[in-house]
Amino acid sequence: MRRIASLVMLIIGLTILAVFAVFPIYWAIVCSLRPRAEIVGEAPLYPTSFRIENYYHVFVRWKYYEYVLNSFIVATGNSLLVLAITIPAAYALTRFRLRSSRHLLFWILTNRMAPPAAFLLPLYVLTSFLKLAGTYLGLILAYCVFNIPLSIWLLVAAIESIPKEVEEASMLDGLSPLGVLFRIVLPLARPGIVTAGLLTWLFAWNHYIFGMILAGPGTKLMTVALGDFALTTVGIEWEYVATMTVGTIIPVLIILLIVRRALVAGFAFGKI
Amino acid sequence: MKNSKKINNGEAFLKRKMSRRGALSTAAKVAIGVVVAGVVAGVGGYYAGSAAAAPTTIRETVKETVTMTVPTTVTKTETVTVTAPTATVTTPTPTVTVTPPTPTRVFSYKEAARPYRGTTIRVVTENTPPAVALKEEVLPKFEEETGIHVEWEAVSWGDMYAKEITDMEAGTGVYDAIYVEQDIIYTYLGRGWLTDLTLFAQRNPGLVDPMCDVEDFTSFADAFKDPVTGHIYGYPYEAFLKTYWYREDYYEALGVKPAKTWEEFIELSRKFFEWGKTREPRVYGCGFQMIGITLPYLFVEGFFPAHGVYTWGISLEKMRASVEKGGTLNSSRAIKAFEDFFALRELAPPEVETFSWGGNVDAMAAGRTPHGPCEYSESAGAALRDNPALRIRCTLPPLTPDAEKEVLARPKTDYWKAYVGYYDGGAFGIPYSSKNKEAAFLFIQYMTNRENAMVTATKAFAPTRKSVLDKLVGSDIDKKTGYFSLVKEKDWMWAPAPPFREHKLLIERFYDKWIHKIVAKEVGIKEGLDALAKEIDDMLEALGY
Amino acid sequence: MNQKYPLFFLLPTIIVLLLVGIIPLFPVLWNSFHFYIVAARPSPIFKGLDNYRNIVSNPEIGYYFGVTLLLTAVCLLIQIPLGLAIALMLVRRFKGRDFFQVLFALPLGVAPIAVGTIWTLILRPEIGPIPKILSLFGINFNYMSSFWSAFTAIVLMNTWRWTPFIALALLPALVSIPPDILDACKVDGATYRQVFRHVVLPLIKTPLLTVIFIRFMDTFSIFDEIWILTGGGPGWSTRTVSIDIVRRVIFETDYGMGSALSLIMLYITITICWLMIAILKRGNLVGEL
Repeated sequence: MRRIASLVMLIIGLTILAVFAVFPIYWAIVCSLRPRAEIVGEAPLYPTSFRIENYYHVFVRWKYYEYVLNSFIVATGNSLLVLAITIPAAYALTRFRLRSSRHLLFWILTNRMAPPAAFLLPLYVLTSFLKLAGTYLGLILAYCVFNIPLSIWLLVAAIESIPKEVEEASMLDGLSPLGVLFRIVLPLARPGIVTAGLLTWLFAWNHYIFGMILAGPGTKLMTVALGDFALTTVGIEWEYVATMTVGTIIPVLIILLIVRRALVAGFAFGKI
Repeated sequence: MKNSKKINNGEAFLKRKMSRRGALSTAAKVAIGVVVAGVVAGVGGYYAGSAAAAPTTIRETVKETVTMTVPTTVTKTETVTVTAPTATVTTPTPTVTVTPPTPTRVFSYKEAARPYRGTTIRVVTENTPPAVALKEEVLPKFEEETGIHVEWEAVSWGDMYAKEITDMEAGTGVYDAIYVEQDIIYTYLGRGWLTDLTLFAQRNPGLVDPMCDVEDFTSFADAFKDPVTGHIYGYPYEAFLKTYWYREDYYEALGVKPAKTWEEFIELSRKFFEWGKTREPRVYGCGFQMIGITLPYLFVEGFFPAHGVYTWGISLEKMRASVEKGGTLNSSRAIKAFEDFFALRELAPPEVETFSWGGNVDAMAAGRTPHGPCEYSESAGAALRDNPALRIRCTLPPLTPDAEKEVLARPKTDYWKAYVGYYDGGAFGIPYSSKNKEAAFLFIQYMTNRENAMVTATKAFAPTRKSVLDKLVGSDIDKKTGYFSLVKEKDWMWAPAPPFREHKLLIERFYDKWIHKIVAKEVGIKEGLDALAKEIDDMLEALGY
Repeated sequence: MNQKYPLFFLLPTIIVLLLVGIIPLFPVLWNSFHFYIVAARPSPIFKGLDNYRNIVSNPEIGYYFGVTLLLTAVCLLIQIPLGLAIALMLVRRFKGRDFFQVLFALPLGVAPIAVGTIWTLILRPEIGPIPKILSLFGINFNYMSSFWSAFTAIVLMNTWRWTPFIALALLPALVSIPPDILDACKVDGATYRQVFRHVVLPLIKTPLLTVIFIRFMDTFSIFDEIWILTGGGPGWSTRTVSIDIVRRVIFETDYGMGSALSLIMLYITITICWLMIAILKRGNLVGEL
């Protein structure tokens, strides 16, 4: 009896929490499908309209698909760049017993902790000096500040969990470290690499603050456009705010649902 | 025990050695980094400092209100002859005799733009109703006629400034045409960031559109002219008064007339508050902009001048704010402004704190408030566009007897001496760092010439040209709202923003903070104003005034 | 091992991080020694340590740091236990556990700025369901009416966004506790609370402390959500350090003070990093590090 009672309580508790977790997203979707009069009026909790024209309005008529594209380009570019340079680095940090490994790792990881606001001005100075202000490359480089440490963290954990014997055996067989990296480590660490790639993509896609000042008119990002909409001074158009919010979330939700197992594992920092 | 101690010592020794080595390698990296960075810092610092050394073509203008009348005769052969200024003390802007333009040559945008077909220019502007109207109706025509592609960026007010300033400061030439509001023009002029359009027109006669004649602009354009040379740095595309708008049908229902003084206005608001209790939906007494940065602007643009505190309480001669040093910011008039505000605040709807610039006009359109003492007329225009059946009218803002006397007594062109409210608006200017000045010049002329100025005038209540204004006085919309007649007869009573270069700094850092504190009742009115005036004076002193 | 390879492998990362992480700090350092307000005066004026003196002595800036620390502390105090509790609930395998996990993982993917907009949609008086529900009970809820209401709104928003992360991050650690130990404890007659305190907690110390560490740093540098929800609060009351820096740099165009504040914030962050890692090291909790 007690078991059943506690199980029931558990389910109730989890249900309440699940509702709490999902309701805001649900509400954003509901609002994005309503005309403004309904949102500002007696907006009921259940969906009452299905004005898919809102999406058409924002993304096609006002050409906001450009911003989606910009965000996509920057996120993908950054993710690929970060993976390309951190996979060898993580391998070097874990397998090669360097005296400076510890310090390097520490320095790299502290970059993750850097508050974005504190890096706003430095990165702005850098990109305008390098004439990269407002370009894709400028943003891609800027995002490296927090994505490289994240990727290294995840990859170090992933590589460490690979038993060394395979590598050692292949090196005895005459394989160069580069070969070991590509032929042995990469395939074995693939889940970790995918996780790192997806998480870096996620954080790059979701980023806002650097985009405020580092993105130019041709490279305006989805998140910045969303911010503009919500902060506009001349009458906020709530239905479009909701629409753009959903637009920002949808790709991420899709990714989350597809690779949820790997991501949940990826969220576990530490060496368990 | 001894063994473990030895091992411990050994380990510790090894650790120390390792850490020493590690420290050395780190030190080496740091040293390399420092050398590299030192070079970079030197260059970067030099760059950061010299990025501002754009060639200045104007002199410092803010120190004194030396004013002069500059009679100019403008012949339409694109030469501007400026006769020597006679130093009489009236206004900081030149008066121009209006000669109706007689085009002496045929100009077509298509021909003039021929060398520039296919270029792309970037324009950044605020997301205002006139901008929206221009984008939807005028921009496609421009692109079609000239073949110049325009990347139009309409962003929120704060973002726009940020983008413009960062672009021009770094000289990156991202933007070719920018929205210059008449409060930021002094900052931009002071930094030499804008192209002198008069000179540019002289040097590029083939690009000048006769339908975009400068003299036809209303006196609002004077805000964009260099007081000394009379050269213009921006072509206005929107200009509107911040004034008292009310719901005519509500006034009729109650049988009242618009208020003339603040006491009357508060009385009226109370009447509406009571009357509104019985209505469905509920009607309140009054409303105004209050959220975030809009609140300090409500005061400096509306409540202060209508109570006799002009130019933000900072004396233009002495450049100080506190009464002791010659300013008016913590005077009894300013205190009364806050007292009247608090009286009205009690009669406002509960969500008034979330009202943005046009928030109260939206509320008026929805029937929640009957009137507002300081509303942007462009918002009213937008509201009418959305709902042509709306019955709203405008009139002079409520004034204190002192303010009324002073405004009526002053010479018409000396607007900063005493005014009733804010003459808001903006112009298109060309940053000096732009790389496509010719194409941009064609763009801004097209947007502001006689034909297209009609669009912003009718769609957004923002007439910038005398010819346009003349056409609109007596029109249906004018009969309904009274706006264009008001502009034509009385716009001399309003003034654009005072000529402070540091105006953004002042309002963001000082006015915003203290006015919010006073309104939130965290500090008393007198103390708050005293503290505000003191901080402003300290900053002005530090800036060298 | 050939020593060349590790260098090659590491070089690109080091170069990029030097480029974007270290080098830009030097011009910023230079800026911080100057009075440099872009919109006011063209060239920076050298003023030595004035900016830093201002930061240390100015009570307002102390207030911003205080608000940020208060927010961080409250968020941590609420989210960590809550996350841990949720993780504990999800440890046992029951039917539908995966389904719940998916639902809980949903807030994780939401961009911080989208979190701000979503919660604005929920909390704004005229359009949000929460104020409408509260008005049924007679409570007139306007989250922008006072500092504490805005503060509560921010904490609520932050909890929604990050508690799932904490729960899902601690879950693997909890799951990997061998059930034999727990069974043994039960046989010995230990209560659930004792088991939790003396067995479970020590076993998950590493990920728990790591999570606390990460959440502390992230909440300290919070920006996007607050920027949209309150923009600095009613007046300036919820103006966190990040918002202050952004306002100064972008709107007031005060590069001098903005630079000094950025560096101070970085310095504080790195110092806390050091401390936390030192603590973790002392407790022998971090292996290689």
